[in-house]
Amino acid sequence: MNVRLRDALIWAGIMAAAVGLSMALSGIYDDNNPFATPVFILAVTLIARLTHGYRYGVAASIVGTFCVNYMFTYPFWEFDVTPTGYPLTFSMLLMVSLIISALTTQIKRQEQLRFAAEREKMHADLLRAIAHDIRTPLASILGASSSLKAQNLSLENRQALVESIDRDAQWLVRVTENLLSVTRVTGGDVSLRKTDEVLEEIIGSAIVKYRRSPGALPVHVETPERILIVPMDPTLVEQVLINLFDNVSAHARTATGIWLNVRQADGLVRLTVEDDGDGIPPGGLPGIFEGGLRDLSRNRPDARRSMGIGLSVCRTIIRAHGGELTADGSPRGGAAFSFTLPCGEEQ
Amino acid sequence: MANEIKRKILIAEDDPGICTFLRATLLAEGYDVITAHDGQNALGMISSHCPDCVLLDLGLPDMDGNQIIQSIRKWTHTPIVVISARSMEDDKARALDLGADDYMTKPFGTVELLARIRTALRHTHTTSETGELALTGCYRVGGLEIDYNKCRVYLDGEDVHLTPNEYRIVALLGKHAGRVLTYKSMLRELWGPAASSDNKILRVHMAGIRRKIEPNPNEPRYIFTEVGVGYRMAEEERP
Repeated sequence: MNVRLRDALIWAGIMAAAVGLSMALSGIYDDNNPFATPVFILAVTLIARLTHGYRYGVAASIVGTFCVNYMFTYPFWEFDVTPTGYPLTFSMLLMVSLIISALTTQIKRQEQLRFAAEREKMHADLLRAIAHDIRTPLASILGASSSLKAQNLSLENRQALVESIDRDAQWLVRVTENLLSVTRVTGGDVSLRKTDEVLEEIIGSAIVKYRRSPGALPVHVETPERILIVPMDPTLVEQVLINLFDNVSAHARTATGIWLNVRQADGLVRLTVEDDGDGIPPGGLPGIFEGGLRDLSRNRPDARRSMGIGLSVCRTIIRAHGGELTADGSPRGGAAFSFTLPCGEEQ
Repeated sequence: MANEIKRKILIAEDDPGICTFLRATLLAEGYDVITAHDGQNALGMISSHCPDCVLLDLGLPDMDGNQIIQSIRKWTHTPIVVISARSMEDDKARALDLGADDYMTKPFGTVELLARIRTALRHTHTTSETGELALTGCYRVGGLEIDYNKCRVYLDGEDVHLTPNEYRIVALLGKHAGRVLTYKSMLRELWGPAASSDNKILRVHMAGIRRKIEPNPNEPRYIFTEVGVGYRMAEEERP
């Protein structure tokens, strides 16, 4: 209904502008207005391009013909069916309207198709990454629990198995949290629940949560002194930060710390997560957000955990906020993941 | 300790796995445990057993969790600790505003579970009027000290010079240390029932407070943010 109202307003606005322009030009010429027909052709073109379907364009060409005939052709302010140009004007306007409408509709349909294909591909990528991320820890949990059933294990061995179950279950928890985040971002037309958040609170909360996990590295934060208020879905952005921190613990083997840098410029806040580990392997950057790194690192003995789902979830969340997530090398030697969030006015 | 009367805890949870885990943990900790698998049953158990604490799953099959909280709150102040799944984030704040005392998000570990229950029990049996706070007029956690008589806050013995509004926020959180306070309840408590629902002022004050009392505001030690819900003051862990 909204679209219809918008189209009607566009129609009325452009037609009024065309009549107004033609009348202004009529003031210059006493005789037949030679510009009236081109002005209405332009108006019909614009209407056909900017509105949906054929209706508005056809209506514009009918009204346009009438206007040209009635207002801008001698005799003025009278409807005259005799002039020879009249059917020509009408058919010209109608043709323009039909052609432009057809092209517009076609372009829109193509856009929709491309969008659908992209979505499809994203879902397929995601499902592949999920399957991989779930299968490995599940296998390990199953193995450990079946070993635990055996009676002849030493206390030490039992303890080790319980700990491994615990670790893998924790990992699965993270995976499901990510999945829930994704369903919230891509779940139909449900938009983000954006609220104005104090950025440092979200950072603080993410760090506190991350630091609870075993093997967490210290996080050094550099933020501007003033308070940054950024509209965002707080739990999702928190998740992005936790994912990026987790990635460092899981993949940057020689890392000793994480550096988070916050900068604000041009209505954007940029957060950069860096580490001093061994970095992204050469050639690993393209496709890193689609789980491509997994294939590269397959030969590594401890690379059983992919970066796939975590990073693709991060990117989905950031894009839904109107920002962008990028990966690069850090001057500290490790990887640098950087994302932006639009922050509107500053406080 | 042996002849101390056991505290009774009701577990209202429909998932058998979680229920088994909760039961085993609480029994091992020396609590008396009763269980209910749906809302009707839980309400009946609360009125007949008068448990000291209720662990309530918000997603019970027969009744809306918030409806259960409202029914309980009509006649008893028994602490309610809500258990929610991650998909029910919005419900957490609502449950707290309706009268729940605290919440946990699934999955949670035994440490968190026991800490929440201890806090909830403490707040009924030794309210701030009778606890350490009332004896000394001070709340201490780590290097932070809130002196309620002088209306001052000290960090490692140094006065941190909070503004009056900042002091009121810290004082409020200190009185309910260990418990999460929703933005809404804090605004109501600090600025009255007519306060606007915009919590931005509160958040900006909190950023100021953190700069004064937290050695590292990005990794808070004293006041934690419960994202999307509210704030929680750290609590001194007592043995």
